[in-house]
Amino acid sequence: MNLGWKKRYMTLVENSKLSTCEGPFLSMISDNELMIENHNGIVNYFPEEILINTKEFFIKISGEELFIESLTRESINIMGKIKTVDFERI
Amino acid sequence: MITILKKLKGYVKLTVSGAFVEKFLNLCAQGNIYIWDVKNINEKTYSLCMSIKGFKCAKKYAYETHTKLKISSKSGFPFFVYKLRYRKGIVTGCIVAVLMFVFLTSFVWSIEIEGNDAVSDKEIISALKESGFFKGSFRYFLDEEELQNKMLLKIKKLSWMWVYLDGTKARVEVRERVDPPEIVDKTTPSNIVASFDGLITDIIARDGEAMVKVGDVVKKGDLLISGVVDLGEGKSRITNARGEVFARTWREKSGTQPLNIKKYKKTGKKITKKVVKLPWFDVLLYMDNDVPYTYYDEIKYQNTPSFFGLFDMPFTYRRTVYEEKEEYTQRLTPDTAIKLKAEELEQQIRKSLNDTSEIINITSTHTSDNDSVSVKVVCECVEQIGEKVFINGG
Repeated sequence: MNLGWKKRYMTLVENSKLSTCEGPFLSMISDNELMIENHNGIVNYFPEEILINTKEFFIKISGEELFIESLTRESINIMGKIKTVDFERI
Repeated sequence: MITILKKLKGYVKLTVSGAFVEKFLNLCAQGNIYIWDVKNINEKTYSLCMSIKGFKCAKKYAYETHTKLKISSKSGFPFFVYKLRYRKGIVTGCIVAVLMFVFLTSFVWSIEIEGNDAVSDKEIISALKESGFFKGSFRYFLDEEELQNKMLLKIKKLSWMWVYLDGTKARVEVRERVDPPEIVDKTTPSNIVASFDGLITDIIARDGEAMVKVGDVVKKGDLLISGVVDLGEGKSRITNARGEVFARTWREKSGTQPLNIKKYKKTGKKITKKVVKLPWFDVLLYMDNDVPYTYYDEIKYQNTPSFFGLFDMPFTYRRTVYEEKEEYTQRLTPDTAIKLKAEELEQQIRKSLNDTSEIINITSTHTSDNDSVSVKVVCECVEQIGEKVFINGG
C-alpha cells in the first residue's frame, strides 16, 4: 500500500498516467510481490493460483506459496513465489 | 507506521472456512474493511487478519456467503486494556509511580556553589534561602533574573551570579568583585594624636614630623606626629601624617563580686520535644509548647539522615531536651571570689585591646567585707596609640 502511494506521487509529478488510465495498475517487486490497484474482486484463491477480476480481463497469477498480504477495495497485494502473470480475456 | 496503527486499534486473526471464501473477501473489500495476511491453511480454510471495526461488519458478510468465521487470536491495545480490568491495582500503582516521579523531580534537591573564594558557601546558601531559593524549593518557581538581582544586592562582594538547573541539581556560579587597590591618602592634611595615655617606647614617623621621643609621657589627645612640617624661613609644608607610635599603657578595671552566688543543679527530670523539619515547614511531634519547669537547660540535638552515605535527605530530625534544674545558694570563700572576679576583669580588658597590643604584666588589688569582695585589675600593655586626626582648614 505504501508502494502504491509512492507510485502515485511519482506519476503525478511526471505526467499523471494513473488518473488517465482505466484499467488495473500493476506494480511488481522482483518475483515476490505484486500489487494490483483498481481491481474488481477475487475470483479464485489457491496457494498456487490466484485469479483477479478487473474491468476488461482477468489476471491470473500462478506460483507457489502465494498469499494475500493486504486487501482493500482498490488494491490487492499478493506475495509469494510468482511464476507467471497472465492476462486472460473472456 | 501501519503496524503501529494496527496494534493500537486492535485486530483479530480469523480462520475462515466455507465454499465461497472469495466472495466473502470481495464483499469485505467492497465494504472498505482492511484485510491482511491472507494465507491458505488447507483446501477450504484460510487464515486472515482484520481490524476489530471491520470484524463487526464482516460477520454480516459471512452470514450472507455461508462462511464460517472463527477467531483464532486477538491482539492489540484494546484487548490489553480489557485484560487489565481485573488488575486495577497494577494500573493504580503505575499511575501513582509516574505521578510520584513527576512530583519528586519538580523540586531542587541539591545546590552546588562554584567560583567563590572570599565569600563562604554558607553565606551564599543562606542568602539564597532569604531570596526564596533553597533545597526543596519548587523548580518551576525559579526566576533566575530576579534571583540574580536579589543576590547581588544582598552580598556586595559578588559581581555576578547565575543559577543553572541540571535536573534537580542546581549549580550556582558566582564571580567576586575585585576591589581596586586601596589608595593611600597622601594629600589630606592630618595629624597623628594619642588615643590613650602612655609612655612612648617606639615611634616610627613615615610622613610628617615626630613631636615626641622615646621616653616621653603623653596624655590622650597629645600631638605625636605633626602634619605641619616646618621648612625654615617661616615656610611650612602641610601633609598627611602617617606612622606608628608604640607606648606602654596601663589599663585598669574594677568590680565587685558578692560572696553568696546563685548556682543551678540538675534535678534529673527532663522532657523531650521532637520536630521533623522539612524544607517547606516543620512537623511538630509534640502537643503543647510549654515547658513545665521554672528553671531548665535546653539542649538541641540535630540529625540529618543520609541515603546510604551518598547524599543528605531533605529533612532533619531535631530533638530538644529540657532538663530541669534548681537554684541554690553557694557561699564562696573570699579567695575564690577574688580569683573569679580578677579573671573576669582581665578578660574585659583583653577584649578592649586591638590586635597589635601585648599584655606585659597584670596586677590586682582587692578589699573584702562580709558579703562581697572588690577587685581592681591593672594590665600593663604595649600598644599602638597613634590615631589619625584631620586638620581643619584655616
